[in-house]
Amino acid sequence: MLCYCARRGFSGIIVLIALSAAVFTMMYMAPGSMETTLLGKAPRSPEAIMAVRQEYHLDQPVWKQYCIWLGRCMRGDFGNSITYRAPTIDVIGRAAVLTAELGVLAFGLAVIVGMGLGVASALHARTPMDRVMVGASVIGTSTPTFILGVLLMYAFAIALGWFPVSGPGRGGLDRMSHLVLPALALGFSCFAEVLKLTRAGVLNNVEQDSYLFARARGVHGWLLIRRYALRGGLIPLVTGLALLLMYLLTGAVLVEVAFGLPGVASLLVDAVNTKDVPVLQALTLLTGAIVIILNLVADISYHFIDPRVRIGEMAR
Amino acid sequence: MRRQDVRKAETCVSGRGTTRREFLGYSAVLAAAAVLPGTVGACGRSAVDVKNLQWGIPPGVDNISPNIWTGVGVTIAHMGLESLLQVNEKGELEPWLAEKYENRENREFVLTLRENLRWSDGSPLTIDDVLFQYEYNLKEKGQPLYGYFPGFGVAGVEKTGPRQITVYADTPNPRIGPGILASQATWLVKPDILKRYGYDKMGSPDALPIGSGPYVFEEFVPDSSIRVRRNRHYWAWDRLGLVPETLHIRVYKETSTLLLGAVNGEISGSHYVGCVDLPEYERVAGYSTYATPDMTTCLFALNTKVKPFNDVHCRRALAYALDRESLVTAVWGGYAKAATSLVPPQDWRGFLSSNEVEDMNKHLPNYSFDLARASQELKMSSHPNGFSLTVLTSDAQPEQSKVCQVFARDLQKIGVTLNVKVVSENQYFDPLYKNDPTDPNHVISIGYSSFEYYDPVLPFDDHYSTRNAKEGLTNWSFFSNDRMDELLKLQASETDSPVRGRYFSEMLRIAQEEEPYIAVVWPEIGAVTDTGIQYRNFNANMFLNGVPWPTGLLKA
Repeated sequence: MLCYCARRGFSGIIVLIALSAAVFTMMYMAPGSMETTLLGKAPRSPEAIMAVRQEYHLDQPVWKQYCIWLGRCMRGDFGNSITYRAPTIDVIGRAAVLTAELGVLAFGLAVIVGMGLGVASALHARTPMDRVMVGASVIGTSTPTFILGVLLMYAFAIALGWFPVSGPGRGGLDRMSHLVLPALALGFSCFAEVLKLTRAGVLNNVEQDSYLFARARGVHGWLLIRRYALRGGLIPLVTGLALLLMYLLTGAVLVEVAFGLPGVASLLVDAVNTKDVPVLQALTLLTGAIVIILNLVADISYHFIDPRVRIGEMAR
Repeated sequence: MRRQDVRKAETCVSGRGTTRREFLGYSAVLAAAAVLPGTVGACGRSAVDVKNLQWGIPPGVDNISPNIWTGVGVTIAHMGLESLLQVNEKGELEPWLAEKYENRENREFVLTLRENLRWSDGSPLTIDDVLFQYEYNLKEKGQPLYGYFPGFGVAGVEKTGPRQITVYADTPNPRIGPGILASQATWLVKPDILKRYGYDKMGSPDALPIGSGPYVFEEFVPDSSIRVRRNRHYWAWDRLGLVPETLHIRVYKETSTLLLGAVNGEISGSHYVGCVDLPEYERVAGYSTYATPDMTTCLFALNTKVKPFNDVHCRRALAYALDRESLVTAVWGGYAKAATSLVPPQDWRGFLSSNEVEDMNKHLPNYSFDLARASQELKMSSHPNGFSLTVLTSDAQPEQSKVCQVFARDLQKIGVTLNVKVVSENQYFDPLYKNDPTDPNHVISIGYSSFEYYDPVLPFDDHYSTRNAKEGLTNWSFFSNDRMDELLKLQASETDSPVRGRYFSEMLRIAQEEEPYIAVVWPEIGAVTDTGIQYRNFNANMFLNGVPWPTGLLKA
């Protein structure tokens, strides 16, 4: 198991280097310039242009610029954001904390509600309740998160005044109250996916002989659901959940913009627009690392869900 | 009885296949749906707390530093920073942190600092602090520095008295007073901060500037929120009257969310509101709205170094083909005025009388919308069959794209094709501020000529002088005219405003005849407040070089 993880970790590092090189090259080739972001709209003295180009190595060939960045990265120095004039780590750290809180909240809502309703829907298959659940999942998948966010904002923030309209809040309960509506908007589309996956997996299992035999033996209630109905369908569900979590932690830009949350996704979009290469490179590494780690966790969890699944040297 | 039998019995009773539990559930959902609309507007706004204001602004506050060029960020930085002089709401230069100011023929500028001034942390603000910063601006060539003195014609700085400093120009330059000594270029920052961070690192959450202005920056989350409190050591409270004790300023990334924040009572006001949104604030949120001429001119810059705009007839053809009045209505919702030149009307105040301005305008070429004359000019040009152009517009400034689309429609009628390309803000600014005459994206450009105070020299010097027709500078059309340069030199040595006014009048004639720029509109800026507060005198200057905007708020 440890060797397997080490091999995956090593290949993950190779992937991250290749990814960062590709993004660096694409940003270099894209129209626009870092000097414009750095110098802004002020008249540019030749000395200022020269100093900016020297400080950020913009006078070097692109491969050399990348190597300089990579070398500093290995030493833990990700440079300064050219937009915010602050260490890149600090800029991303602030955004990452907020995105993690939002992501975890939305994920929790999606998993608890989605799995619960998915199981209920599968156990009451082809009843009106099941049809309502399936209909809700179709609506959840089809509704753009931005539209849902605005509707939730109007209903619960404006009409009822239960929650603030936008912003991240200051921390603690204030932060929680600011994140409820965005988490609901994100969680609603995610719960639909979880419901569909859970329903499909549970439905497949309840039609098996093993489930019927367990019921005949007198197994009932939560034990029947957990061990016989749900467990068999967990592998595809875990894969889906890993993908959902990746999306929640890296791609929820529309919700972040609608609710004014300075999270990772909107920071990424701003970094592309302003050619803030230090931030963009660091975010590329962060999102790449998140994807690699979540995939690894999902792959390892298969063995614990179903011991018949072997991984690494156990598979030989 | 088994559960299945009970359910079957219920089905038989109801005849509809619905259980009692299901029926109750559906009823609860319908009842909630019926009640929800009734709660609209149930939660009204509470009375505004004028001492602790909540404020909303659009995005653009990445940094709090005097180095920010323009935009909403500079209005935040100005809350805590100020300079020795300021431009008041009438556009007049007056001493501020200086108690006395003397302009010696636009060559030497003598300033005497007030006594007993303090930084916001309570330490004394001395003339040596001012000298340190001015020398820093003079010598630090490397930083991306708004206030890089040599770039603005400042040759030297000297302490000439116990509380006196003299600034020397390399050549006579009337811009140094209002343009440098009253602008963000010399907003004073405590020397410790400047030494530790320099301008390029200053302004991040861990490196907030310490100034002498009315407010202290307590907390800053970039492009999210700013908290300020009153500066207990501020010297001018008795002049400013009742102002908020604290302000919590939130950034709203979407204009629709800003409006919802207003409706919800989360904010008591906002500035930098798009004027076209003002009626919505009145109607939906019940706010008071304000609009005033902004200190900008929207324009097209035509590259006179390359075809087709090296031909004056092509430039005039485009000028006649622009329907400014339609743009005022369609794009700015009436919150703008059709521009006749790069010099807005309020700039002439103090230089020419209104009769002189009227007389001057009668004798100038008038490019009112006239497609027949546009066609005529084109037929006289070196491109009688028309030509094709591409203009870049910024996705962050949607009005640019709308202007260009309307312009393209009318240009098509005279045989000119204008392709409008919407790009990111960085991509849009890149060719404009690199200002390379050979750049194919810089044949025609849309932009804004901004000015910090009312003086006709600004647009002429920035956009028509040969010395600025270089890469990285602001003569975007690369226009060059010996007489224009001569007039600029003459007015620089002149301290008498009416005499300078006559020079500007001739400059305007040259500008209008050659038409390297097509002036589009003079737009307005908007602001909104809760009805519990109001602006004392809403004007564009309070967001730039005047007294900071929160100090202009009053209880209604």
